[in-house]
Amino acid sequence: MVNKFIFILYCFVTLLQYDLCSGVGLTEEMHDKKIITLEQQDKGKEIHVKCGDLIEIKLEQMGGAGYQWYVDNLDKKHLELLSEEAKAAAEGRIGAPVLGIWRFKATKKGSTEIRMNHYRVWEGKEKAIEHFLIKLVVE
Amino acid sequence: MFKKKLVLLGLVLFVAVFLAGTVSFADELSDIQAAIKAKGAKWVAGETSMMKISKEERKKRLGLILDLSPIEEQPVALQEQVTVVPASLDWRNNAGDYVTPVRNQASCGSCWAFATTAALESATVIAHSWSGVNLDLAEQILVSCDGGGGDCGGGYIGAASSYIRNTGLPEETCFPYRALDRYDNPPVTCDQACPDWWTSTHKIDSYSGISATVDAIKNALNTNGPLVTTMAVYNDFFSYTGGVYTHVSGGLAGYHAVLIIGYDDPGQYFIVKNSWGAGWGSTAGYGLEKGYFMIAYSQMSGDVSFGASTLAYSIPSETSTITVTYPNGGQDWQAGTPQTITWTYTGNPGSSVKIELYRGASFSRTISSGTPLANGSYPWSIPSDVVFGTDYLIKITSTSSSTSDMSDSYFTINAVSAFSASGLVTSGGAGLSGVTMTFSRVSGTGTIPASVITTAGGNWSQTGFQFGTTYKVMPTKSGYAFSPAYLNFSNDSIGLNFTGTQGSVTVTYPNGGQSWKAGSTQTISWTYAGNPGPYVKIELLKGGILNRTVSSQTSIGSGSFSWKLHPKQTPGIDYRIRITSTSDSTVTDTSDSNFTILKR
Repeated sequence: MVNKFIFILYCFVTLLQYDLCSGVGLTEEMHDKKIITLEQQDKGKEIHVKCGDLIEIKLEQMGGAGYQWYVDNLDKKHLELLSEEAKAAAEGRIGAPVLGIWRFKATKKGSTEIRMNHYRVWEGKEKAIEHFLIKLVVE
Repeated sequence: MFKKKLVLLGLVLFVAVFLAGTVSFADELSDIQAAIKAKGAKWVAGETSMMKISKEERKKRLGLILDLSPIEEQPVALQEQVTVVPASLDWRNNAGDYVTPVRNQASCGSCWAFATTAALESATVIAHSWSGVNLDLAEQILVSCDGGGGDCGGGYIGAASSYIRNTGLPEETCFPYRALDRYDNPPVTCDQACPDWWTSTHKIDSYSGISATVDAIKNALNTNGPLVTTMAVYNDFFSYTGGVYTHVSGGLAGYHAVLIIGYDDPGQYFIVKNSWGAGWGSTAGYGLEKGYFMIAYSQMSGDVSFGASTLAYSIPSETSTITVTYPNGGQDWQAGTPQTITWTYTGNPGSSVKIELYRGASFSRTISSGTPLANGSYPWSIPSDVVFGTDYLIKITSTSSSTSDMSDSYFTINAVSAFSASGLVTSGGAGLSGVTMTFSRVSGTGTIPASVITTAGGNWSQTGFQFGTTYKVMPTKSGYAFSPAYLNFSNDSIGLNFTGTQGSVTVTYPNGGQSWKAGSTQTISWTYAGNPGPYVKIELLKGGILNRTVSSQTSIGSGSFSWKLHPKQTPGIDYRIRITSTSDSTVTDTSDSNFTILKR
């Protein structure tokens, strides 16, 4: 009975993984994933990545002035946000921008995009001072 | 068996991790609110329309602590006094308001410029006792000029303070804030400020570093006024809308400079002015303007590092004086006459003064509630109702401070003297009697004499008018119109003459010879001249005797009246129409000759 249950569960999980990323095995070590780093100057570009690749976006944000970058309606079918962090962009200066770093994982084949907006949360997205858009083709 | 269990455990864990990645989490605001509740914090995270961003999309930021130490010039350490300070202090309400309005740095990293400029503004208004004055100085100087302390990419509060001490800042109008710096495209450079701006600046004498302890900051707030300080900003801070802030969730978003304006020991918090505009934050318990926040004393330690670098500004209080120079004693003034009050001043006692009249030590009246100080004089027409006295004094007081002065000794004001006025009213070349002459004030406060009536020769005169008051005289007589309608006068006045025109009304139809059928509709018409009054009465006469009233009141201005004759009106050849003013029965007219009314 236990064997049967284990076998069904194994099949279910394998099928799910196969559906998300064709050719991707159960563990990440089984494919050769790449890290694609994108910055402000890459805004508007179309990027081709492979399923399982990591996309790292680095943008300066004016936290001391109340501004942050916010990911706009992430496409969770194709992408997963793995982490966010902030690093000093200009050392020692009060009010200096910090470098925000977002890491996404391509989880399913297809076309999608990442949209981000730089604004004060109490003023709303419509008053964003910058926008960032990357078109992604997950192969 | 053991192997099977291991496989089972591995699969279960794998599935659990996989499924966890697909779960949707509550939005950030809920997270913050939950964190506030969980940690027992005493502040409120407000809702905004743009806050529905899932936790999955915004996992905790891992901030890198910035180095706060670089300050181009180390400040002088303050001799921190061990004094007994009050349990609370708010410079917005400390025997006056010494905090200028909340500004907005916009998207430029210039908080260091806004915090230091705000400190200079407060230090200046405190030194000059300019309570409530919106001293608005130019942050753009610090952002655009070399040595100002930084730019839109951040800056140093020490360097900015040195610049404020050595060069100072002009008023905002000299170099309005642009939220751009000299490295932007197009650049906003120092030479875009108004010409020779450095010749007219506000400065501090010195600035001092304050130890990062609650007691040291409270002492400095009481001794120096609002303080520039720094803090780390975490993501939850953006959602602050009230209460006492403590960091409960979210990663580091940057480092920030702000202005501490007060504290509250019972609540264990500082009151702070931010530079993110009045759309953010709260009123922090005073007034209506948002843009402030309260932060717990506890946030001085830990990751927020509130107060890590704190600077106090010093400007010695200036001795300001106002001196009444005229009248300064011994003058002999007449009520109703124009006089000039003069004064001088030193320092900066404020922008305007209040001028008051005293009798001895008792307040008598306010002469001016606000006159520009710099004018140095005020033209005062002494009202006619000022009574005689030999103990008058003038007191001049700054409207924004307690600086004031009084005449050195008493001066006299004599009661106003009276004058008379007279004139003639004529009509058709002859004097017109029975005209009522009514008086009123155009300006001033003099008494108003009673009305008088013209004599048989049309003359009138009256006394009791007071100097310093301008009067109006207006003639009225029933049935007459006057030219001019009224005259203004002051001082002794004769020759206040008027011409009267008697009102009249003339029947123009039917005026004789007409034949009207009973039951028909006819139009009666008339003309008028002068001022016969607003209404007329219309009557039908037969053989010179009133037969019936056609209309008891019709507007004279209409000039006509549509009349439907009664179907059984008695036929006759001796009818006439009479039209009479309802307000003056002497103004009347009748058809020149008879007309006929025929049987229907």
